Parts: sequence; C-alpha cells; structure tokens
Amino acid sequence: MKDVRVTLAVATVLRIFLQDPVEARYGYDLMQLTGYPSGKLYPILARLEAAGWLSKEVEHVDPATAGRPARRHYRLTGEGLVAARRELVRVNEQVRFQPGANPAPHPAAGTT
Amino acid sequence: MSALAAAVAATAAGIIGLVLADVVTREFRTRLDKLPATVIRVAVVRAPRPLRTELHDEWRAELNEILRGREALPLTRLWIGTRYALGLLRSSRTIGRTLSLTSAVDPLSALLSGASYSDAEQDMLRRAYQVAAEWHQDQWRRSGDPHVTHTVAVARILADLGMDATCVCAGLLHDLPSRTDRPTDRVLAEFGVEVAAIIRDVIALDSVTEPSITALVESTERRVLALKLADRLHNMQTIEFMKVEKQRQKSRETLWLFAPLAGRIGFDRLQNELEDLAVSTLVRTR
Repeated sequence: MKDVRVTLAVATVLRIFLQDPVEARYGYDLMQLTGYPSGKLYPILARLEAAGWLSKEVEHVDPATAGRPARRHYRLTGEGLVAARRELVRVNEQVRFQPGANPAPHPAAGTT
Repeated sequence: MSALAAAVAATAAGIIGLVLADVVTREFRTRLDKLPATVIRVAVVRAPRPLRTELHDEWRAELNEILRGREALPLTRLWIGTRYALGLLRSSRTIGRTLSLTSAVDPLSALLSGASYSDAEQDMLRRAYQVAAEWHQDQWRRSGDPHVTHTVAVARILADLGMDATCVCAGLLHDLPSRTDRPTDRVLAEFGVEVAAIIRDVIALDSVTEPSITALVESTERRVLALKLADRLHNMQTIEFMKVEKQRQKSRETLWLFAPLAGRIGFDRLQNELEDLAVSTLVRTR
C-alpha cells in the first residue's frame, strides 16, 4: 500500500466519502459536491485508488434495458476508511493549531 | 384587407424564419454534441494502452449523464460536458501514470515470494527495482505499459529459470545503460562487480556480427545468455505492438538463433516457448 500525500483537496474528497462511508459516489457527483473540475478531481481519485483507499466498481445496471452505459462508482475500502479518518484528524489539527494560520471553514459546519 | 395580407405575410415569414433557425441550430447542435465525446477519445489515448478501455467507458458514462441530465438547458449541459472532457484531456496522462505504477508493484512482490532469497538478496532486488522504476519512469513500452514492467518481467523469467539473485538483479537493471543517462559505474558501486559485468556482457552481445550458437555458448557466461534469452522471450511475448516487418524479422532471428541457443544450454521450456511465439507470429503476419 502506498502513502498518499493528503493535500487540502484530497482531504475535501475524503471528507465526502466519510460522510457516509458505505455510499458509492460517481465521478461527476463528486465534482458537483466538491466544486472541483474534472482535471482536478480525477487525478485525486486515481491517487486514492492506486493507494488502495478507494475501490472502483461498475454500477449494477444493464446498459441495454437502461438505454445508457453503466457508470463507475467509488467507495472507501476498509483500509481507506481507517486511513481517511486518521488523515482527516491530522489535517484538522494542522489547520487548527498552526500559529497565524487562517483556518478554512469546515464545509459541513455551515457558518453563516 | 392589405393589413390582413401583411399580417399573414409577416406570420408566414416568422414561421419560415423559426424553421430555418431551428434547422440551423439543430445542424449546429448535432455537430457540437459530438465534441466532448471526441475530446474524451483523444484524452484516453494519452493514457497507457491497457487502461484505455476502462477509462473510456467510465468517462463516457459520466459524460452521458451530464449531457442527458435534467438540471440545465441543453446548451448549458453541452458546455459542462465539454469542460468535463477538456479537464480529462489535461489530466489523463497523470491519471494513467498514477494508475499504472501501482500495477507494476505487484510483479516484484511475486518475484520475491516465488524464490527463496536471503534477506540481503531481497533487499538488493528491491533496491534494483526502485532504481529501475525511477530511471525508466518517463519511458514506455509500445504496449503503453511503463518500461519498468519489461525489466520486472525479464527478472521474473530469470527467477523462473532458477537463476541466482545476482542474475535476477542484472535483469532488473539491464536496460539502464542503453536507455538512461545513469552512469554505468553506479551499478558497479551499488550492486557489485558481478551484476555490472553481466549487464555489460549482455549489451556487448548486441554488437556480435554473425553470431554462431557454438561460439556464443563457449565464450559467454550462462547467466549472460540467460538474461539475453529472457529479454528476447518478453519481447516476443509483447511483439504484437511492433511493426509487422519488425515482427517477422525478430521471429526469424528467434527461430534460427535464440530458440536453439536456449536448447543448447538446457532451457528446454524456454526453447519451446520461443519457438511457439515465433512460429505463431510468422503465421499471423503472413
């Protein structure tokens, strides 16, 4: 298993997966949830998949009856779940305790 | 009366105008609709060949979802789809490399678990793999695989032939002098004189004019010949990606030189495999 350098963008993607760890997510849905363009999101997904944190599966749909191609969705693996939790704690602490840092608001916190 | 005629004429002109505009936009749209799919096809080609089908299927399905979604007007969706495809065009090379580097790690662990190497030998092979992976990192096989998959495959064949760790290590490193700028004396310093000598002698074999099997067997160390044969075997296994004329030339050379050479030094299975690959290539490209 390879290490993943968890940048803020990687952390944002992981956070979405952690909101509901069993939920499978499509690439385009993740783009909408993060606001990242495809050129930013897909390399992140590739890194997480290569590290074994995410697994990619073909959607259970028959293209002939559905009239559309089957999509691929991503899900946290067991290792990925542990690693993502650990890394998010680390990232949160870094943001919180960095002296003089301007903490980014937690996307789920909804500070209005 | 003339007012009525004018109104009718205006309505007719209006309808004709609308129909024309519709025809024009439809023509424009059907052409434009194909743009993101075309961009995705180009993007996929920038990734290594073994990954292309899977990436294409994934991205096309998402594009389909974007273009047929309900959250925006058709032209807006087309714009989103095009941006989606252009983003992939920009990043598909990175994505391909990220994904293919992991698949290259597994053969090494298979290599290490298959034979009984000492801890020091395993350590040497791991270091050799890292050096090869690092120095070949921007090099690709015609198949689209990272070049290091070739040196790992050669090492694997050598291990299967029962060669020692020194020879397997030379297999991992054998393309460094001819394909990278890494100073050759670094192999000598880091992996020892034996490994360096095997690699040097294998490269020297390429400049032998009119090689004869007997002369080769008498003048060359068995490990050097084994490495040369393993290199040839993997090249034959992946020969379909070469030009047809090259395929035939390599196959003929394999039949008259390398297969009999393998037989002469006791690698019977290797001989059979080389012959099978060469013959089937010659038949296929006839």
